[in-house]
Amino acid sequence: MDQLVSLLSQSWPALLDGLWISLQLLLLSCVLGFALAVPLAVARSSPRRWIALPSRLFMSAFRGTPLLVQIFILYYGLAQFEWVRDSALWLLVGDAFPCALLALTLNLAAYMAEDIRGGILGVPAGEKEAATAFGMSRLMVTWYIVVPRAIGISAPTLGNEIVLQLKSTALASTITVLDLTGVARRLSIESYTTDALLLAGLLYIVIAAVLSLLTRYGEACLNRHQLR
Amino acid sequence: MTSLVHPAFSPPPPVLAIEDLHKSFGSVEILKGISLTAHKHDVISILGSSGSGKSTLLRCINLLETPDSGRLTINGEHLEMKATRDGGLTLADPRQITRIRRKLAMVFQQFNLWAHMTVLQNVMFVPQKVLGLGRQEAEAKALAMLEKVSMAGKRHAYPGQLSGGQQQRVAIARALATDPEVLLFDEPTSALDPELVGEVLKVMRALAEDGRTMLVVTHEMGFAREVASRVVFVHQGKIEEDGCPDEVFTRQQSPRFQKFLSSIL
Repeated sequence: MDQLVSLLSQSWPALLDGLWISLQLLLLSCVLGFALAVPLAVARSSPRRWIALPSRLFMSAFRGTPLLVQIFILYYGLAQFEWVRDSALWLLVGDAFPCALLALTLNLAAYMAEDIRGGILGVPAGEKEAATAFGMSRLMVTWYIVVPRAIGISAPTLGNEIVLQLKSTALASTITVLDLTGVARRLSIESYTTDALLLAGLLYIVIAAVLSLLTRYGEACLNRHQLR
Repeated sequence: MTSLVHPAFSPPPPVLAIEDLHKSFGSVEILKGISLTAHKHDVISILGSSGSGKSTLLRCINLLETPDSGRLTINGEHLEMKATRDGGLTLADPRQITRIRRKLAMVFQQFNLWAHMTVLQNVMFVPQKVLGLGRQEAEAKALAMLEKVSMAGKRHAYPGQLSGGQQQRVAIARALATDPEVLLFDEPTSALDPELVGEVLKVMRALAEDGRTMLVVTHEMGFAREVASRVVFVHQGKIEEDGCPDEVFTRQQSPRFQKFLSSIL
């Protein structure tokens, strides 16, 4: 216990920096991933195959391979090609942080899209039919009825996805990003103890608890129409 | 044959005219040539046992189902359909479908209110987003319609918080707010608890008295007998009886209609 306290008093600025990086990765990847997941899920649910297929391929690629492999391919793999290094893409994958953020975003988008697709399937047919019967175009039905209803229906699983994503951000440390895990690993190597990792674990638990409270609150807001 | 009525005195064209409508699902023919015209202020009750095709008829009118053949004229606008490769009909102009749907408004058996919107949002949505009214105008209109069905007090509630009868009244307000030429009711009271049927029928009766043009698929004989200006009995995809309620109910020409009446009364 004394060790943990002294570690905290000595290294809290570094740990705080790491925590901030972790939270940035989490927040940005959740916002961007969700924004990407909605059109992906809509496209995936299209009855037209040429619209559904690309999104289906994207989703099975990112859900079918480990996130770690995706991060390595983006960070180490793409850097091997000269044309990548010469292109604008390099701004994204040339640096560790944006590269990790990209991988986390795409991965989360694939999972969230699958959740939202389930929500889309759960939208009552009668509500879509009513919208059609009142002269709404297919796009309007999708945007005003199907998507908001589907997000409400899939809210519990989306919230769970966010808590899982917190722990996925730790993988960014494998490509030199100094997030909470990265900092803790460096500290534990320097001190030849696992105290810093233990501390990091405690911090993750606290954030996860806060997150699940927040997501539950968000879920209640989204589904307020179901509350009696 | 020449018409005996001078053109200047000829009755106005029907709001809705259906001619020889056919519709099959797979190999089952549901509608076998239905013709029906509705003039302004007509309240037509469509009766028939389940599976007779009366709901399909209603769904063909606002094109939730595409008829296999037949002609549809709404407010003088003829619906263009073109043949598909498999012999059915498809609509030539998608914009025309939307235009025609905006002249009709449907009230569904299961209400089909949008669960994520409040009562007020449900009613003002179509005027605002589809018909292009300003927000305040749409809201005023929605409130007026909710007033009509005595649901203005619940305007901030969500559909899930209302009883079936209340939901159906909101659904009627939603339909009214679109200024439809014809109101289509698809068994509006069939999903309601018996004690809630009355409040919905009361609203529909008031609409009929206002002179709304209504097509009502229903099992409510009282409504058909007292409120409707015309009763149509559909049996196995064809119209068996068609006339004013007194005539149809007292004469009961076809044995099938007699049988139908005795089965539900």
